[in-house]
Amino acid sequence: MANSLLSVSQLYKSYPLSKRQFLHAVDGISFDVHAGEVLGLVGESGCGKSTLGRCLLRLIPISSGKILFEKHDITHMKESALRPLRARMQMVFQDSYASLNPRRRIGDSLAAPLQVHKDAHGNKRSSAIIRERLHELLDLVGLPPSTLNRYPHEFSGGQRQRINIARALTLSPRLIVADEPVSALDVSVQAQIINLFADLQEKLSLTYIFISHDLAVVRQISTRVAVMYLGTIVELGRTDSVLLSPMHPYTRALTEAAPRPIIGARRPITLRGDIPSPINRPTGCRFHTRCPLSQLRCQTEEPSLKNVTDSRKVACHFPQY
Amino acid sequence: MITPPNTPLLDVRNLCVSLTSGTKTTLIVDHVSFTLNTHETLGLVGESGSGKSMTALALMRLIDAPNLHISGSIFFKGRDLLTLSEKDLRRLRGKEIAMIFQDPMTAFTPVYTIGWQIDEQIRAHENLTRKQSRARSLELLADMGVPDPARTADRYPHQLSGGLKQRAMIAMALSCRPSLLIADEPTTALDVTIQAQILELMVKLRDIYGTSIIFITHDMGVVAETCDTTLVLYSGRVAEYSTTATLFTAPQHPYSQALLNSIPPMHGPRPPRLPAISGMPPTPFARPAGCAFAPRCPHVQNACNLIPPPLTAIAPQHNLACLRPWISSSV
Repeated sequence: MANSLLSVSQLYKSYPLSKRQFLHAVDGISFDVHAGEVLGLVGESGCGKSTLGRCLLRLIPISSGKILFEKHDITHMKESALRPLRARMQMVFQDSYASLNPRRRIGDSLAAPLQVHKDAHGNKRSSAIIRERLHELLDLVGLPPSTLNRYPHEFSGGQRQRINIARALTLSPRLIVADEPVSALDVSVQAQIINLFADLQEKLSLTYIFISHDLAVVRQISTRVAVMYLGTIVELGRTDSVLLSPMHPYTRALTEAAPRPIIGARRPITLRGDIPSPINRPTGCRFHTRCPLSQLRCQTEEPSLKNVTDSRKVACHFPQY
Repeated sequence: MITPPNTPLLDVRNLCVSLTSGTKTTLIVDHVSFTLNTHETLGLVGESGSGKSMTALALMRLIDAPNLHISGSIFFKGRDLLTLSEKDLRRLRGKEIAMIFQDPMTAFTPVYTIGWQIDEQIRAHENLTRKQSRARSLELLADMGVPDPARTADRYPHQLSGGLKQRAMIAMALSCRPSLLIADEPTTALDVTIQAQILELMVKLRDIYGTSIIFITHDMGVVAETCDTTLVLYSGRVAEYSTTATLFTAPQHPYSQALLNSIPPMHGPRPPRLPAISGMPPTPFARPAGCAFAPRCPHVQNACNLIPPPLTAIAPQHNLACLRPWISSSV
């Protein structure tokens, strides 16, 4: 990919539970993120979407695989070499309160990255320059300058999430990984924050990896969507093609299971039972235990993520057209 | 107890929960009224801090703080729960009115098995032997679609998945065949595919057991799919109360409209920007003098800032607390 900002190939992340048992959180994932796009990552809890997000920014060590960020191989890069790159990739988390030090004023929390990182010429930033940048940031996320002197607990969840977004933006990153950034917010506030993400992306030409379990939220913000199940991507493609005409039976089940704010929208349930454990994954296709279309082949042979059209990938032996 | 045919199962009138601190009294729940008939499901929707959980706790008289006071009346099968003695109320709780919560982990004690806890609830209300109550527990778990009920009953809460725990909690709530089930965000912590199964289960149980349900949620999708009537709460007050069909097809309160509009659509074209409501709901301590929604309302008029608009019937089964219909007709 010529313009891919982030390129991931065969990424694995497993946690040892005992000498013989492993929890396979991310299990062989490959994809590219193009500059300027929003890639939505959806899936149910335990599918590995948050682990994947953290691996991409090297917040946790990777078991195996390769990650290229701006053409640099960051997979096993030393912390000291990684640090300048870190300025260009940032994260926003779900819990806006836990993300901020409760004993520091917002101004101090926001200024920290600017103090730690040198400017473009390798010089330390003066406090006047930092101050100016903080005001600029607050203006970007729609908060008053008085925010700087206050503490995290003085703000509502939506305002705190604006602060976290401002902090992620301090060093003008190119890539932001947002892990369920609006899930803890009420709908009316959620809409404000989604709009803010969209506005900032346009204004600052950012690239997002937007992790969420809410398909409607992901549909609103994403250019492309990757659907995850038990540590792998089962479907990847343009947002509306994936969500409105899913080819993988799991994607279809997900889109059908989400309750819709429409009268008379109740649909029959296609998916029964719980998600299998990522410790003892099913053989063959990992979805076959819950799949309504499962056949003998699915129990033994694992489908790989293959192109069905130029922009669409599906990991299923029997994709639905 | 036989209820006269025309009396609703639950008739709540001017329910208030007030918080006293110093000399100041604040209404956390401000004159909430609604009725619930047998076999009906009522949705209580609102954002965090709107008073929906407080309303539910007040219904069960589970609010026990010296500075919190419940007033109004809650007629359940013709008796006012607010005047019942603690002893009579205790007989009702769990047996006639049951409650399920968002977090099943905190609803079960971690030190006893699931089966033990369900048995205990049955034996507290009914004169059954251990064997009989266990048989009932297993039957209930099976009804809830729990695979291998006998084995599950012998497990501890932490050994079960979120979906299974939620099923076990519903089983416990229904163990004495209550006439009213209060469900406070029962599916919020669950994944969509699990949520769909639990919602389906609850609808099925209402039909089989004949239980009326009060469904507390912030999820408009859940309301649309499960509730017959819906009450929209805003800052502790009822904004709109109507059949769910009316609320979703022709919402009249600007807040209901804005709330529905701010949900990203799953179908049709994607709007470039979501029609978000600016600002946030006022806390009960900082409510404006007039309509609580006035500062965020796109249709606000001078009159809105004077007194809170009363909840008025604008059509059969459609109540609205907004001045707009009256103002626009006179302009």
